[in-house]
Amino acid sequence: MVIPGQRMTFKRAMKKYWVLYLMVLPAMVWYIVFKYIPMPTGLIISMEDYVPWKGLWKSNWVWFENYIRILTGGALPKVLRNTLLLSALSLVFAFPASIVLALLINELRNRLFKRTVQSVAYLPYFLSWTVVAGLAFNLMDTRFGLFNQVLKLIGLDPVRWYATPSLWPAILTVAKIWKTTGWGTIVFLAAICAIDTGLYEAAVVDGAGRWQQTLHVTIPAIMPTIIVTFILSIGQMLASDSEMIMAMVGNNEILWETAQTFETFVTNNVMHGTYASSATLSMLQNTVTFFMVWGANTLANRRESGSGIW
Amino acid sequence: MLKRTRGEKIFNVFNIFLLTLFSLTFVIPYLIVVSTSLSDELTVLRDGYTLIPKGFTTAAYEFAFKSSPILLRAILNSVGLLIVGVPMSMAVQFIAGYALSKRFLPGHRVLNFLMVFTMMFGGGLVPFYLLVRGLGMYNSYWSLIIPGLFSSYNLVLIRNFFDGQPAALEEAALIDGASYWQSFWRISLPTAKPLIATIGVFSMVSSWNNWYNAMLFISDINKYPIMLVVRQIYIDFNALVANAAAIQGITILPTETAKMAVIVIASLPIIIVYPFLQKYFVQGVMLGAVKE
Repeated sequence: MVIPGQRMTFKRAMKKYWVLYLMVLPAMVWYIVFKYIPMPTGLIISMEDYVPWKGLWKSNWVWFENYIRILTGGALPKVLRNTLLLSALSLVFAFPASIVLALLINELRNRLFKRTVQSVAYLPYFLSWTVVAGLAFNLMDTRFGLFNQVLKLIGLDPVRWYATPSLWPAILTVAKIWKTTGWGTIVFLAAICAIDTGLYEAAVVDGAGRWQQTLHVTIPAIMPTIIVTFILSIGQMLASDSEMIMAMVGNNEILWETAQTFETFVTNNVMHGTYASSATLSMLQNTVTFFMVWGANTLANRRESGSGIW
Repeated sequence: MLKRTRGEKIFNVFNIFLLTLFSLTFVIPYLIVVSTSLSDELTVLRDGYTLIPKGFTTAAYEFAFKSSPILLRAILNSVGLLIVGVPMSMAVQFIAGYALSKRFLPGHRVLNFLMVFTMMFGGGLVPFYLLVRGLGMYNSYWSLIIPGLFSSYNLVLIRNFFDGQPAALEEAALIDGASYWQSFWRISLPTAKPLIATIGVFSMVSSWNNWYNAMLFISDINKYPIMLVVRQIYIDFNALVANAAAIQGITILPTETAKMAVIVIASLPIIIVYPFLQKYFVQGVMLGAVKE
């Protein structure tokens, strides 16, 4: 065994722990290849007029031309607006939805019903976004879908959902709520479970009804969990759910007007073989996100030590 | 039990009503799809999608399988990717996670930092895409396995699990001359069964549901995993089935019902195993919530 505080030479450590180093080797190789090599490569491409057949080393070096073009060009405001709008909608609606649902589930007294609601609510999380997109195509079909059938029933004109970009921030938010709200309750339900029952008993003695118990015991008790979850999701503001958008919007260019975000813009460009500008956009996004996640995590740790991601 | 006031009774009824309604919104979209997939195409074209099958028939399923060899092929692809990819990824992650949990290992802080740092910062899609292509994985099944071999999130869970084990557990074996590998394999790993089950179940679901990397890296339609077929069917249904239909001499394509049938086929495995595996899913979140 090693005496604590004593530093080992590299050679001795290798000799003594070679099995452990060997065990971690595949991971290190993988991380270097798939995570660390792309970092400088991305930076280089973002400063090049990258042409695939010329490759990384022979493409023309253009310094900050790509950055200047993107920051002053026409695409950025729209993409930024879409990304921020979707994130804001998600924070305002999807985030509280989980808390409200958790509180409602917590109030259920019938155990069988409670478990059924939980099972049903968690399920969408395990469906692929492509399946969810399929369900959405079905519901919003102009001729046959449920939405337009209902509109017809109450005497309104059918809506061409897939040709109306202005509706899509809302549609995507609803889809996200549908898929993730149930799953999101787990953390809050766990926090509620951890509350000391004595607090409720004391509240009852003081004459508190169920609503007052929720307001004065449950919500304050899960507040740290709420705050930490909230702070961490703010750090992800620029990361939109690109799987959701790519699945639900697909190649429908009409909808890109409101559904094109940083990540889908980059993905679409890559698939069309336009690399330089998307590498630049990724670099900008990742750098800003890094500082936001870092800041959010520091905040979360300050609020309640050990509650950040690291 | 406490005496209930009138307000509480009203609330209970309201709550049950609300949550029933909520549960229905989760179930109904799926039921409509199942029902449409079992309906007669012409009835659907006339009446729209319904909650109960009209003109019950399994024609859409027969058509989907018969006229599109792609579908069966895609299911086999996905099963194959799951059988090869998930055990591979589990093995390398548990092995690495174990080694990373050894705080006495010189360099362990650096290694852990390198792993966690990638959760915050990445090079972006472009270099990643060019890299995978550069490694010759374009249009290869490996592009759907190797780039997703490790997940920092899983590694942190595994590392923390082994880190939480008392050192005494392994000490006796190590003093008796067992190597760290033997100790890992015979002593530490068997205690990690719940974690293996949880991460295994999550990995299987995400392997089955994965289509994003396939969208980026697979151009040969015969190599599509099932979820990419689900996506393509909405984008270009005809490309997937029309030729086959023409050969069979089918004139009216059951387009609408067959699309729904494919969605049902793709999601059915998840729906079937879900009730049995639910406890592992919930366990996974709890593990993630209790960090360090």
